[in-house]
Amino acid sequence: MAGYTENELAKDLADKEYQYGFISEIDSDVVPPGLNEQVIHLISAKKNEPAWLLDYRLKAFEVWKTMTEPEWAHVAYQKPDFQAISYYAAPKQTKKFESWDDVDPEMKETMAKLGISLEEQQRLTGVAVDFVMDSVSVGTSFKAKLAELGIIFCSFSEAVQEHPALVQQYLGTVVPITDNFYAALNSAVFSDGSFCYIPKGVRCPMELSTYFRINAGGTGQFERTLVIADESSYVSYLEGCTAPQRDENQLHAAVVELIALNNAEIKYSTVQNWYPGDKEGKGGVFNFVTKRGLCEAHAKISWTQVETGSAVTWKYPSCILKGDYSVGEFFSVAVTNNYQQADTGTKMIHLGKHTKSTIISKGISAGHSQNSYRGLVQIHKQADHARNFSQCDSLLMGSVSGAHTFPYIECKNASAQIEHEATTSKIGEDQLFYCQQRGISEEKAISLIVNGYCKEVLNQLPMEFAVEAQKLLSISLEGSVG
Amino acid sequence: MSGTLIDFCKQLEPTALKLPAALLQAARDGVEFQHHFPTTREEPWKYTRLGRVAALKLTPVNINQSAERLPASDTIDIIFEHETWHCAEPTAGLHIDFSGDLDASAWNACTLQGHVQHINALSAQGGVAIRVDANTTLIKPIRIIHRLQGEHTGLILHHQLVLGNHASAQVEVFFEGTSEDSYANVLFDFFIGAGANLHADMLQQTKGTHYGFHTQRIYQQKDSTFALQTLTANTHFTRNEVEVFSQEEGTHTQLYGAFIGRENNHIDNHTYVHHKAPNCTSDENYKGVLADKATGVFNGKVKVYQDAQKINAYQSNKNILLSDSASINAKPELEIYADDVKCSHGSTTGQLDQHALFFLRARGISETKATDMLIKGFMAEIVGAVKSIHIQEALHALLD
Repeated sequence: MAGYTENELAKDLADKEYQYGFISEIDSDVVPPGLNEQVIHLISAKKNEPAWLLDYRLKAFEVWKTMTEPEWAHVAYQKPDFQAISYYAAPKQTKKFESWDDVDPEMKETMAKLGISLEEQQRLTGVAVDFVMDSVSVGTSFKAKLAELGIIFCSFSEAVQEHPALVQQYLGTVVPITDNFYAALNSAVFSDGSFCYIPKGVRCPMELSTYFRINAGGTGQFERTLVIADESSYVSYLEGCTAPQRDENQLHAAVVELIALNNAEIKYSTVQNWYPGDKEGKGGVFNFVTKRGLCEAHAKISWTQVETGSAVTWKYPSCILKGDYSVGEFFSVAVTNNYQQADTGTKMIHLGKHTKSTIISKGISAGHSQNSYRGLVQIHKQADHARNFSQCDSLLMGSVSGAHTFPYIECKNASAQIEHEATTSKIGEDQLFYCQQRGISEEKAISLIVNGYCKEVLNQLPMEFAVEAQKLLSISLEGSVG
Repeated sequence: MSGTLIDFCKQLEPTALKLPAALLQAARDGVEFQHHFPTTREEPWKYTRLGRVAALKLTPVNINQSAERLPASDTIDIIFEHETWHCAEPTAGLHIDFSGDLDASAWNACTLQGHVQHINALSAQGGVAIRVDANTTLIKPIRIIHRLQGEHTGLILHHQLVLGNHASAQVEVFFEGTSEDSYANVLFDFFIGAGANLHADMLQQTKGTHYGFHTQRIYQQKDSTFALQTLTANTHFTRNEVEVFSQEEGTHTQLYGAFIGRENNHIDNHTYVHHKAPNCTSDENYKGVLADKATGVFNGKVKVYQDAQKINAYQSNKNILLSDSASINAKPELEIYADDVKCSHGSTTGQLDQHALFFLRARGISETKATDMLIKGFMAEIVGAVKSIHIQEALHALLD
């Protein structure tokens, strides 16, 4: 019998190489390592920023200096030396591209390797892409077409130059500089990112997409994303991440702020595939990200994430349900392998009446990895008739991996209804037997079960991303998914 | 001599409990190191404030032992009242001792976790040591009653129950009486031998502004079973810490709990099940009903160690809030390092089912009565698991 056992699957997982581990030979303009006020002045000057933004950065830096790194997460790692990181690395070619033919061929190749050839995407998929390499946004496609509808989709630095009023109004309103250690750090040194504004009543006709890549060595990536959906608008936003294979740990500390005004809807999907480190747990990206959305009345924010990369993940996309009848959703698949550690989950803060939230979290841990769900559901006193449903499942592969669940449920209103359930188990022998009995090979059966296990979340991804997520899962769980 | 709890720890001579030096030092370091009470910034105390407890002015309770035996009844009674222990005649195979001379070998297995246990280790004034010989099945339950009284009293006790291999026993523990601005820290160590079986029911229903801290540590050996029902009714401040160490294969643990809070009551239940050995099961079920401005906390944790395969652990926590000023903080946790396990937990919070209420009211039952009936039904699962007739009666009186 051509047996494909769970042990073999676990072994396959362990042996799988990271296929995005190439380094692009592109000259970068790197600021020397270290963090001080001068560096912040330098970053700000390089980007030709207005005075208020420099003040914002300096204030954040002051706050950051008084903070200590959070230690409550269920992860263990060598803390990064914040003075050994370069806080700005841009591909040298910084002139704006008018046509895609002008782009550095090396960089084009990088994009092609990532499977996000901009031309192809423009033509075939109609997805507008903003590509952020190291710290600087390289190009945004489909800009003109979006502009017709009044949609602003550009790099963050461009937005600072061209739409300073909007940026100033919303920057830091959802994630204030005092929020946490990494958010403060990001606020001080963020170099670029994406900015998106959907005007009143506009339904964005295409998926907006950002691709992040850390390329230069010894750098950190600190991008900032700000998405504003004005009243009764809709946008679906995609985000993808990769990094080259390096022995050292790279730091990624991003901040994403979403603002959904009355009746607006934002769908934010992430496929995160930062380099997870090698089989011995050497290298890999530290992914310390703060993502949060604010919902006004009748608004909806939906987070979907597929997390397969990073050596250490510390990420809690959250919703503040401020307006009455607002809705928050969180769908997550987190796969950890080898020595990866993930502590991820969400926060649903119910402030408004009749607010609803749904949390579906699926963890898969293989190898020596540790995978934790940490979530908070908070019902405030005035949040009458709030409703929450949470489900956190963990699948264990391999006897030395760990799966943990830390849900916090805080309820101060009697009319709230909260349900939470969690299960942890391995692939059931009975399920495998059931499939095999019907002539399905063990390998296929495992694939079937894992696929079914994640389906609830994968179904939430937009078409373009669902395909990629499936691909990623099949890389992470080779031979079993797809 | 009187003072705050910290003075208490400093002034009292280390107890007659013959704590191993290492543990004593650990406790001293714990209290010394903190020099203060844990704040809400510390994870185990995130939802429970200790400011009032820290400010309490306390006088230690003198503890005497009555030479007279209590009359025989349907239970073997051990009663603490008016600063005195009273005890009934033990039956064959049962040994009850008040000298504080606890089983030293059992001590070595102990660990000290956190503030409540540190305070207890440093300043326990005594306790009851109960031993049940191997292969003994006690017919009568052991009933331990703590009748609290007075003001500004500080009562710190460390009890121990050692159940020999293949022995079987039932224990009922009561905390009752009225006491103002007082503190009690009562710790129970249960050592359950191989194949032994212990069923324990505990009812906490002290009145007055009493601050009660209760710790149950359970050490289970091969193939033993243990069931604990913790019932807390309308107490001003209660913190329960239950810690189970499943040390060998084949154990079964059942932890059930019910808490009812009114007015400004604060009831905090912490449970921690350590599955260190394979092929074990645990079943946890806590239910809470909170009215007025009462606050409740449930924090249950199940940890499955790396080599503890084939564990089946279940945890459920359901809460009902009867008023908008009441609040509940629940945190059911799983920490799992073995792969061949089945662990699950569920937690719900809500109000009484409006349809059920309407159904009853449509049949001419008053709102109060209907509410009482629904709460009784909600609690039935837990109350039904209680074996102690005395506690059953007390609960029925309370819920009716």
